Amino acid sequence: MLKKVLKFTVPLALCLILVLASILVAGCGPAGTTATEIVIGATRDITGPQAGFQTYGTAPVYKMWIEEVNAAGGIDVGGKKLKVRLIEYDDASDTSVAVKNIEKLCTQDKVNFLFGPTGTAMLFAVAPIANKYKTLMLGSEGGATTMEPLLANMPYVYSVLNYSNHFQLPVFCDLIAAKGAKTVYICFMNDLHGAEYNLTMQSECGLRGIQVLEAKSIPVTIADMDPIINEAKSLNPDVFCMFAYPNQNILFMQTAMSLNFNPKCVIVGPGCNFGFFNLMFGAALNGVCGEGAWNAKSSPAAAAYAQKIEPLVGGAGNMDWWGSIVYYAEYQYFAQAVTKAGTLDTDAILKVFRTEHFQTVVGDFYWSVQGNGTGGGLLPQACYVGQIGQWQNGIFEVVDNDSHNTASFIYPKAPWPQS
Amino acid sequence: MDLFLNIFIGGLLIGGIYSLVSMGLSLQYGVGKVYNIAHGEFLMFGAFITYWLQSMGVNPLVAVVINAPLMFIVGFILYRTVFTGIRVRSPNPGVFESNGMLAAFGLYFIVQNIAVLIWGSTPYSYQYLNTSVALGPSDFHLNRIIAAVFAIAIGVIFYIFLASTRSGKAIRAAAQDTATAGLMGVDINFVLAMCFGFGAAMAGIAGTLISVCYPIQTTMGLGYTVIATVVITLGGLGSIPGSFIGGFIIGIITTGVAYWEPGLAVAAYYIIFIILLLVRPKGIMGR
Repeated sequence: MLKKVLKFTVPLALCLILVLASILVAGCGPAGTTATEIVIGATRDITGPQAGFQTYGTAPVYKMWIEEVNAAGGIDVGGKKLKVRLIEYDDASDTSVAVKNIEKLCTQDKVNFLFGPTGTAMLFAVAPIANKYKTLMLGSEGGATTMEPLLANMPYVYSVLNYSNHFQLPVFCDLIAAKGAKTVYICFMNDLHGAEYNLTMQSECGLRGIQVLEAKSIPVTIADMDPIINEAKSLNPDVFCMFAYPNQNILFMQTAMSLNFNPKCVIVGPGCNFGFFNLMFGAALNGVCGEGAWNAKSSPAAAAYAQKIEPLVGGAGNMDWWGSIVYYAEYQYFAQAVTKAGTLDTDAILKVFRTEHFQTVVGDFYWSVQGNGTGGGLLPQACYVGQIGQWQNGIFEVVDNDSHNTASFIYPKAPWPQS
Repeated sequence: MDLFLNIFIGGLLIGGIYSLVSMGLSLQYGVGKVYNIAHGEFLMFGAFITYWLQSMGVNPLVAVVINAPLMFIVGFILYRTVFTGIRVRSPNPGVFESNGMLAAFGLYFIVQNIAVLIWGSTPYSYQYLNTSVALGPSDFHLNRIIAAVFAIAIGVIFYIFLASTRSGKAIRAAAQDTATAGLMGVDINFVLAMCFGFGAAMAGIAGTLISVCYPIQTTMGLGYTVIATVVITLGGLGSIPGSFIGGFIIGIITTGVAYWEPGLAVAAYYIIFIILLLVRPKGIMGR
């Protein structure tokens, strides 16, 4: 009888021990030792109205970074080099499609990490989904003031780009106030991006005693800027702010030049930070400010990065002198954080994100973690290469009044050249 | 008074381009019975061909003589191959209209994706006569004045063509009653294809004029299709003079709204559209 019992129980017990042992080994050791690759997902505007960002925004940067990492054998995870594989879906600039894409990436493709979507509205739509599935999302083009309180409860979302109050417009208002600007006219896109820049500008102007003469919203499809420029011309502001997207900003430039509207200072963006603005307007762009900012003069590392990324985005016209360098720095940071964590376990990597500094192309890089150190992250001001750029002789100079400065702020700007 | 003059002149300048785009769609939809959702894509292609030509040193306005015949040929062939096929296979005009619109949707995506592959999604712009001249109380863009003059001239020439040539009479007959025109000996397949070709040519010319005045992008087409739809509804389906006048009316109204509240300029199109459908669905010159 005992023999019969032993005949079944001994092999059963051995199997049980083996199973338990393998579970223990898998559980105790770093996950990186069992993974064969690192899969990063992204929902992007490959087609649709914002598809241009796929050429000159984050996408060429992460593609270059992935190529570099894989060419070097991969990221070191617990002593094992793992190559990075990208899964990229098209959302055609449609937030509902972007949400579905992120759901699919997290639940079906089971990606390890996510790259951010294109723009602020998309970020708002997909960040809660990434957070729900506890998948670390590395920020891209988007960023918003109204996102800040939400980040406190979204520990898996890290937003890398600078924006209105973080820290561009305070820096810009310091610059114009120091030069004696007294009045401002604001024209802004009637979406979240424009509304936030408008409100922040009004608030920063108020703090410095600068009068806002008018704040006019415009739709994305605006075809005629004449009414706004004629009104602004009659009010004669010292500073004109154009917080819209590249198409409307180009229309503004054409209209202001044609109607000979010459305020002492003009800030235009986003769009002004891209090389194509310089190719379009050339010398006329001298003295025009934009959000950003960095250039090849920012540091030797920045110069080397500019040289490397320019052919990959398709030439000087697609150079992004606002976000490109911090996106790359973020990926460099991420790779080092994964290596330091020694695992692909997101929570272990987040612990590193919350505490560690790493050297990147922008120098010392670390996160300002929201929600008393338990939320998502924003990049502190010290990590940015600059906040405000001004075109001067074909270079998007950093004109911040601090150590990042690559040229003096020109005020007043020269009048538009007459064609 | 100055404000009203500003609105009136500004509206006329932008309305000229709207007229040209809309006359093209009116021909395609009002006569050819194809609601060509890809109409704006012909415009976009015209704009980019102009951009390409001017970058090689060609005067942008000269591009009209290249764009117009090229777009006409493309439009003509498209109708003879795709839409005529759909028309002869459709059991009745209603089915043809709906199937034609679906095919036009497909065309919209095909053309736009080809354009994105060629030119990407970056905005393009060039400087051509980007200066102003005083007209009444204010300064107005010289390039827009020239574009409006071009648009008006082309509209008038086309009207004379419709009124005084055999082909023009055939188009007018087809616009009134396609089946009866066919019974009267009009080669309907040829005339409808010609209408589609003329519509595409006008979109191509409008693209040239738009590129002279505004930034262009491969995703710009649909916005102009929407404006043209409002204009042809205002002018009356198939009415070329109606579309011509409607373009100016929409231009003046939207410029006026933009002076008051720019954020409502787009909403104004749709408000006009809805009011028209409720009050006078056949438009100001529709029958």
